Amino acid sequence: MQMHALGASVADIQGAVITKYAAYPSSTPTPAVPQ
Amino acid sequence: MITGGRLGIGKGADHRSIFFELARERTPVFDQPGVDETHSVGDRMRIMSSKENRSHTRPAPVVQERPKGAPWPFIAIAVALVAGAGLFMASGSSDLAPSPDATGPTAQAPTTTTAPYASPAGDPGSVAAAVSGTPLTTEGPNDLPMPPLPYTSQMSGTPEQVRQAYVFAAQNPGVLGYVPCYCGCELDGHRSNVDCFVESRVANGAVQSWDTHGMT
Repeated sequence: MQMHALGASVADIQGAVITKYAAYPSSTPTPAVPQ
Repeated sequence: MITGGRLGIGKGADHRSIFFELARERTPVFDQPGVDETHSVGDRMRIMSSKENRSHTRPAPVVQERPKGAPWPFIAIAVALVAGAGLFMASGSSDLAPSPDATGPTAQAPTTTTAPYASPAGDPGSVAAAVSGTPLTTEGPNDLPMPPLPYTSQMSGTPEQVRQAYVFAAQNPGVLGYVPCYCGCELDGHRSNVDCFVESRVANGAVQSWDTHGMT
């Protein structure tokens, strides 16, 4: 929400979340952001 | 026998000293019949400590009864607290309460409900497209009505923070639809973080029902 408010792209938000929670064993099958 | 000379004060006409005058004022026992001023100090102490004189010197305890009645200050404070809590809850949900004009689409939800993003084949862009009419956008249904939030007793933040998160999820499915969730909710069929907030939407993209995962 904060990144979105600062103007970050959806791809950047997704990448930041995936990087931050990389240690977690499982996650939702979320599709990648279309290029 | 106390004399002024014994106390170092000049003799008085009746052998009274300043100490004796003070004692007379403070101990009415000396005014009792049979109590002679000529008693020695030890005699006076025994007289003062005797049961009979104690009953005279000690006034009966005055029992102040509390006024029996309702504790109005406490009741007033309790009423004020309850009213404040009610106003707070009302203000928190009034932002998301559907307006009378918005009851139409929500009421028709059972017949027109579509949850494209909740379907296995859906993608975040399909919701955004259904809402805005454009192929893929992060713009969400900003002006669409929302049902009241399912506040729970265990929330991960303040009610205002939770409300903002739910509103963001409702208005930005094209963003949260691409954000994965790591709480294990994929076992519940969730495909992204937006599913933790929005359970279903109607055809125009308005939220039909919330998911309580976002509360915790």
